[in-house]
Parts: sequence; structure tokens; C-alpha cells
Amino acid sequence: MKKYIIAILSMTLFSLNILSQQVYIAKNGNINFISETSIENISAKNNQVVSFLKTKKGEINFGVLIKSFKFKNALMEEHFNENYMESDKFPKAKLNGHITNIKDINFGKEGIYSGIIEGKLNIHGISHEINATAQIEVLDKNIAASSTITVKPEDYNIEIPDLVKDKIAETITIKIDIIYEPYEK
Amino acid sequence: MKKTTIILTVSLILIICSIGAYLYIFHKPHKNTFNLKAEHTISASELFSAYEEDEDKANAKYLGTIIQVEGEIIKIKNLSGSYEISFIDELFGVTCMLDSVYAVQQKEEINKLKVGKNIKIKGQCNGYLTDVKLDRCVVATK
Repeated sequence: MKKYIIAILSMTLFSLNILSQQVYIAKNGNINFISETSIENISAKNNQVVSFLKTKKGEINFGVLIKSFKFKNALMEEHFNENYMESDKFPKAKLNGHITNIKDINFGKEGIYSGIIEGKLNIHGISHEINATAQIEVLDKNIAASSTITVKPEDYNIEIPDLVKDKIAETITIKIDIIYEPYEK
Repeated sequence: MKKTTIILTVSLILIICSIGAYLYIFHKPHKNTFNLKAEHTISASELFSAYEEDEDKANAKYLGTIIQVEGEIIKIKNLSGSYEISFIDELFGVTCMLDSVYAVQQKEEINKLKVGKNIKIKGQCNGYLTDVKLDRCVVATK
């Protein structure tokens, strides 16, 4: 199975190379989320985010493991996994999207660009179309991308009990920070 | 006079107990991997194959559990105090995060880590993206 995946992947990459398609990957992308209310601010960090960026077509994908979100407070982390995100049932979140204004971004020239990303975000087993603006910085070798999106837990069937409703924001801010490296195999 | 002393003492004890319970429940510390027993002991390649063949089945068995995984280091990355160790392949393999809290307690063991060396790592299995990811890992000395 693994051999097949690698074979298919290397074949794809090979043909992509012919088309001068560049693939960038990130294995340690950062995603933080913040819930701000007047009572309490809650945040969690995840530095195991995997992301692929194909610069020619502007395809961009993210994979996030829910259990990789780390809280300062152990009880909150437990509740987040067991009660809200049900991470045993839905272990990951995904975003499959593309950069719609790919023509405005010159991946061959160092600089800071503004990208518009449209895609499907899947959290807790539920998908929604989202769009976001991202800052894309083309560096010498790497590409740095960052964006902030907001998500409403109720849109993704995440139930917050009345008891803690005041402590958890209706809209959660998600900060994404990724440094891509060229994928060479 | 005596009665009030008893009432005062009892209520003081109750207050202390409830503060203690509150602190224990809401501020309990994270589990310490050093003290946790591995629920599964497995080689990195066995773990990766299990996920590659059937992710749901593997998740049912391994997700959220403490695993001791053994393999040959193919890459060591230092991420501001945390160390990421890869087995098999950087992208299609098993990745273990030795978080900084644990890394500072294992300086000696970490300094000995080298690409090509066989080691055992104990940590929590978080699931599968392109690789199987473990975090809150420690270098297992047994």
C-alpha cells in the first residue's frame, strides 16, 4: 500500500515537475484558537498541522488532528476532546481550498502578497464553504502564509452546554501560521 | 463558647476542602507521560502499516492511547525547545513530538539521539494525517 502511494505520489510529482508545478509542504504548521468572553479567555495551540500548497493552480490543503490541540488547563483539554469536538469519533479537521487570485501572486519573486482563499472546511464531521484572506510571503526558498478565520461552533454541530455558555465565545478566532518548504523527493 | 469553636473549626475545614476540590478539579495538572504505562508496545513500521491499511480500525485501537514505539530515527528537528523525531519517513511515517516540558528533563537522553540510531519513545497517539502523530512524548529508558 505504502509503495503504491509513494509510486503514485512520485509519478504525480514527476509529471507536476514537468509542468513546472511546485509543491510546498509544511509539517509543523501552527494553528491557535482563541475564545474571548468577558468572563474568560481560552486558547489552545497545535503545532502539528500538515499543509500542502501547489503554487501553479493555487491548491491549498490542511490537515489538523484535534488531539494535537494543547491547552494550559488539563480539564479544558479533556472537555474539548470528549464533550465538544468528540475527537475519538472525529479525530481530524480538514480544509481543502484554492487561492482564487493566484494571478496576483508571483511565487517566483520575493515579496508579500495578499491571497484570497476559498474552500471547504470540515470540522466535527460537518463541512462548510469558507473564504478567507491570507498574507502570503514569498521568501528566498520558503513560503510563509498566515491567516485568521472565525468559526461558529454551532455551525459545526458542536454543542456547548448552557452551564458554560457564558464562558465560551459564540465565534471562535482561529489563527493559522504556516511556513512551507519546497517538497523534494 | 465551645459550640462556636466547633462550628468555626468545622466550617473552616469545609471551606479548605472545597477550595482543595475546586483547585483539584479545575486546575488538575496534565498527565505526566513519565508516569504513564504504555498501553501498546509496537514498532514504528507496524504502527504505520496499521494506519495505512485501515485508519478507522487503527484509530479504534490506538487513538488517544499511550504507545511505546520503537524504530530507527530518520530525522530530528528542534522546534524551539521541543524535539520532533521521525521514524520511517518524514512525511509517510511516525512522528513523535518530545515537548519542551519533557525535553528539559531529558537533556542527557536527547543529546544522545542521532539519525540512524534505534530508540524507544513513549507518548500519546493523536491520529493519522500523512503520518501517525504522537505527542507529549518522552524517550523511554526501559
